[in-house]
Amino acid sequence: MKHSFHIYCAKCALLPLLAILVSSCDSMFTRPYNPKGNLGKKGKILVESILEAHQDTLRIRSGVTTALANGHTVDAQLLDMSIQVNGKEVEVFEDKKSPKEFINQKNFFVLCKLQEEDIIQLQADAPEVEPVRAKVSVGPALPKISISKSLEWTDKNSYGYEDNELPKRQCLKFTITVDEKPATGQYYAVQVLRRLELIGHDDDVHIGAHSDFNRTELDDLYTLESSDFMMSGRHYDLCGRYHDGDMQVFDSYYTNEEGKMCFEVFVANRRKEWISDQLYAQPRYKIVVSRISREIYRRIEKQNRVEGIWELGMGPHAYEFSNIDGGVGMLGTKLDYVSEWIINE
Amino acid sequence: MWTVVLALLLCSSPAGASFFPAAEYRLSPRPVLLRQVSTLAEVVVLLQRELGLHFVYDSQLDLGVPFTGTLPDLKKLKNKKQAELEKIVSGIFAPADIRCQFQGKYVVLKKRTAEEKAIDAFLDTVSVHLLEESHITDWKNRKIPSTQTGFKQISGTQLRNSFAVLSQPDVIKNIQLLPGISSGTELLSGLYVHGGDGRDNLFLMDGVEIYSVSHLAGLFSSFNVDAIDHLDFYKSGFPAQYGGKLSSVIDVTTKEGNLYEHHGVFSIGLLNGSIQVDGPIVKGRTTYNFSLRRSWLEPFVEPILAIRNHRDVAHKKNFHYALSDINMSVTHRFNDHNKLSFNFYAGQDFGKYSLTDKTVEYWNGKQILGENKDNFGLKWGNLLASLNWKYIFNDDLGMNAIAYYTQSSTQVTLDKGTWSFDKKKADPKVIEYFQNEKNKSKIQDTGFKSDFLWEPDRGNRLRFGTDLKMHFYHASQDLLYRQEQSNILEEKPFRKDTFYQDQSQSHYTGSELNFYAEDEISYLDWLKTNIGARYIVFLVPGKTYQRVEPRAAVELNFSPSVSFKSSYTEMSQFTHKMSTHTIELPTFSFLPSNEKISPMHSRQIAGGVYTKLPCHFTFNVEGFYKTMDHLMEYKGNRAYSPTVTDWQFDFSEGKGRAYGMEAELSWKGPKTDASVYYTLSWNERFFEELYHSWFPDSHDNRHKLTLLFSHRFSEHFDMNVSWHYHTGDRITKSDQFTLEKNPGVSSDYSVVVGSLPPTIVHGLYNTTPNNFQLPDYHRMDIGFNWRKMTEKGKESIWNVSIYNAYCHVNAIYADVEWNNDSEIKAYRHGLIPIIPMFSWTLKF
Repeated sequence: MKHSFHIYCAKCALLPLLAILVSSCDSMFTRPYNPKGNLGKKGKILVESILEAHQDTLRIRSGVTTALANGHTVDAQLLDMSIQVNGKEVEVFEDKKSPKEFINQKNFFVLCKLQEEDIIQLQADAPEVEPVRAKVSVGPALPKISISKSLEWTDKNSYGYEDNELPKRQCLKFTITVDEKPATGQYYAVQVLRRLELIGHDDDVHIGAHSDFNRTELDDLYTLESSDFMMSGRHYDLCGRYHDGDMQVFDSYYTNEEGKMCFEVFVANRRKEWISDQLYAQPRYKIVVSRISREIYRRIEKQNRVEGIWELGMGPHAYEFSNIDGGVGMLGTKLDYVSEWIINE
Repeated sequence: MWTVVLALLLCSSPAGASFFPAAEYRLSPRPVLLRQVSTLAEVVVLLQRELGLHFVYDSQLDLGVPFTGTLPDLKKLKNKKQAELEKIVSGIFAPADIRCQFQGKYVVLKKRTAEEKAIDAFLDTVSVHLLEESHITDWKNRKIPSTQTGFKQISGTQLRNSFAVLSQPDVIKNIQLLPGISSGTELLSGLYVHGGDGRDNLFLMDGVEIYSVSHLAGLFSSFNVDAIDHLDFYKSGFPAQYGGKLSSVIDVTTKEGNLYEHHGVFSIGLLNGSIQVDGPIVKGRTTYNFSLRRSWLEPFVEPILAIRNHRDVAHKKNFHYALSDINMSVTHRFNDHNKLSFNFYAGQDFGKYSLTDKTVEYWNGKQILGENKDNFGLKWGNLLASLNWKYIFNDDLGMNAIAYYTQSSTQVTLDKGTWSFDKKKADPKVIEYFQNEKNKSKIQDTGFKSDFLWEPDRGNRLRFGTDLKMHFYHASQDLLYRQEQSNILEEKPFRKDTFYQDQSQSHYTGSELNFYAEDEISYLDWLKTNIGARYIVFLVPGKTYQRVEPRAAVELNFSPSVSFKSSYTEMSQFTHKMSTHTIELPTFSFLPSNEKISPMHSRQIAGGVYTKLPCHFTFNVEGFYKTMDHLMEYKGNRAYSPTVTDWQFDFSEGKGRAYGMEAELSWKGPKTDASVYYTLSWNERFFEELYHSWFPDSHDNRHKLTLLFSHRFSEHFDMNVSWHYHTGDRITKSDQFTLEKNPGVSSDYSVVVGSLPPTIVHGLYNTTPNNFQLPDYHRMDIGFNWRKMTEKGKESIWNVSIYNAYCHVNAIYADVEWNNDSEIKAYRHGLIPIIPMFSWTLKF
């Protein structure tokens, strides 16, 4: 009897309970909510600079961001910055001439020429925002770099894959040998510049070509990390961008028989008809090899991330590298080797 | 003292779980005092000790219930005649409706059914011969030292009676409830133990590692609860016999067959069905146990798709998915000291999705037919076989030796064919583009392990052993992009172009040799220590790793009901599950540490106070601090699987730390069980390549609270309710921005072109990784069981379960939007609503 009573009660209770639950079910799989408790209330000091060692002037791009939570902004003109090189304070000036890319930006410069393995410490503060610190060092001196060139036929695309869309064309191959054996923690970047000079008439230029007919094209920055092996990633450049020019560049990298690092950069015309011998003189090339600081490499590496499923928090961090303690952005250094103009004869 | 009793309570292992009877039986040096006996389990221990009785009982039998009777003077009972002794012992268990049947040297305990009670009114003795799952207490598994922190044993019965998620209770989802564990993405089989990354848990099935434990992207685990006898779960204080993973050990022991009778369980639920049978091959000597589980989505999905495809011939879709598990064991007992068993497990998932679009083109009045095809296939699974020999040399020394083979494999295929027609008048042609991708991964282990338990005297218990295994790792990726062009009048293509073809693969062979030894020293009543170490040699081509992992534990008994335990452990992990994401899709590869990738390593210190309170309450508090080195984080740009050949360059190395405290409060009554689990923890990471300082892990759930309640209304109806809460997971979102002038607006902002805002966002920035916390997670589950005995003595169970009973759709991720009016809009996205389920089980 007791048993029957329980069963009866359970059955009677279950159905209404289910009905209530289902009716109260919130069918909204996507619902708005207030995230403000999650988000920072104050802006952050932004430092986004690559210090070019061996230049007489170091330029620092900085500013104050706005907090997403309340839109509160601190005027960047209140930003104050101090810089130490190898522990010694250097004078910091406001740079009023350099163009501003965003609104609440304040640029600085320092009249100082950095040497290899110098250590730079930056501090910045402004009212109402957290002060920031950053520390970065210049890499060791660049070793001897030799560049050779050769011509090859290829139908590879800019990713180095064979591409049937592209006609097989002549490709200029630069072999860059760094007189240095791979060592842990060295970071390089390779970039190609091409100078095109117009010799024909403007009217002959194919519609759609650039209006600046005498132009310098700058290809993507190829960053490489050296360990006791080699590796590379193909990333967009922070310094210059591939402005839809005519170059088709791809790279490869290896360690040669002597154990030294070699980069190969292949340059081809993107669309053959756009570069006419009648219109342009033989292009000239410069190869830029840079010793970049680890911070630049990390920053570029994280920019090259895959969206999609990762955004759901089920993949690696969708976070851009930053070495600005208390703020946002990145401070890095680089040492450049720039070749002479190389003419493809 | 209470910890000994507690350990015995927890270690309700069946015959075969361990095979060290005499040695185990003499392990509790201190007598159980009569005044301390509060549950039937303790009564059993006491009678064992004082009268030398060996108890056998059904695992359904709950001996954790309070003992409400009175115990006679046991010393006087020793001299009683057998018949009188039987009567007195039966009288001890009678108030709890438990029947005692003396069979030779064993005392069989069995719950009296209503029918039996009625019969008992007329008969004094009823033959008890049906034992569904026998527990022989003098084989009590004491492999778990009582000094252990962070240990939980869950019996097969507890598992089978737990909440049924998606038609069947699940091992992983039961473990997820415990404190100190984050479950990750809802409904999946994530197990983030003490700050672990979910890929650092050691799963053992009958002592052999099983590498991948997920079915259906993690909705089910590979463990069929019908086949399980019990599982041991460790999250700290790892005994020296375990190693190879950083964060936890889940040691599952499958059931042996009944020695005298054939039994079985048939179960069918919404998504799958299972059958389990066991019994003797040679009565009293050789037994078998076989269980099969398989999904049955096909009868639902395929007719629907067939109707759909019949209506829309031009756009056909097909979907097929199946999962299956087979567990099998054959055990032969040569004598009481010698047993050999063969265990086999095979589990597989198979999924296939195909899409066919037919295209019709016309050229000069001629009809040209083409097809676009997409075929996507998934296949992954495990295979495991082991031969297990248990032998007792004498009362002090026992051995357990296992020869084994285990394998885990995955395969993902994508075949895509795109058809197009180039209608050039002079040269019409059909262009077909093919994309074929195949990712395969496999790990195979073969090895031999042996464990010895030696008790040279009453104060020392030594466990030592070795494990020698060979790992074979294989991963391959085949990619082919090809185009064929053909004339519309000819079938054969006149031009074939291969744009890209890459067949890359990597093979590794790893050898691993482990030695371990530990000694539990218990000369003093109030102090017990466990000191041990594990030595590992791991060899891969070009690199040899050696590690010594110390293990130490101490237990202080302040009083019979209060003890303190502390432990220190180190663990290393040499085999890595390489994946770009945390979803259990078969896109991962198992690869070894090599000269570029160091073994992961963890150190953990844990300690706690364990109390038994009045009124059947128990209260435990544990704290832990754990550090992890050489953790791996994918940094490449591939969405679903890392590269095979250069995989070691696609991972950055970092470290982690986790710390916190866990509290458990439980109450166990005659018909009601209630538990509260609470965790307060921190979980942080440091990846130099990602951020210059420590940042919170994505599963840094500060608070976790679990409430469990179950009540048996009668022998026929019971229910369980649970409520789960934890602070939300973390994701990375931009929380700072800069503005720039809108290029469409004049420089002085005075002339606005159209409705363009004067400024637009220039850049978005995030201050730290995982800076954004999702909303708190909470849900309630309710389960009901109706049990009924059929006329033929079979038990029928109807289960109705409601997952997420109040339908709180928990956030899996969130979007944050911002507009120029500084208005923030955030949206939380969830996937899992209320899910009602049912299943029917027949025990025969």
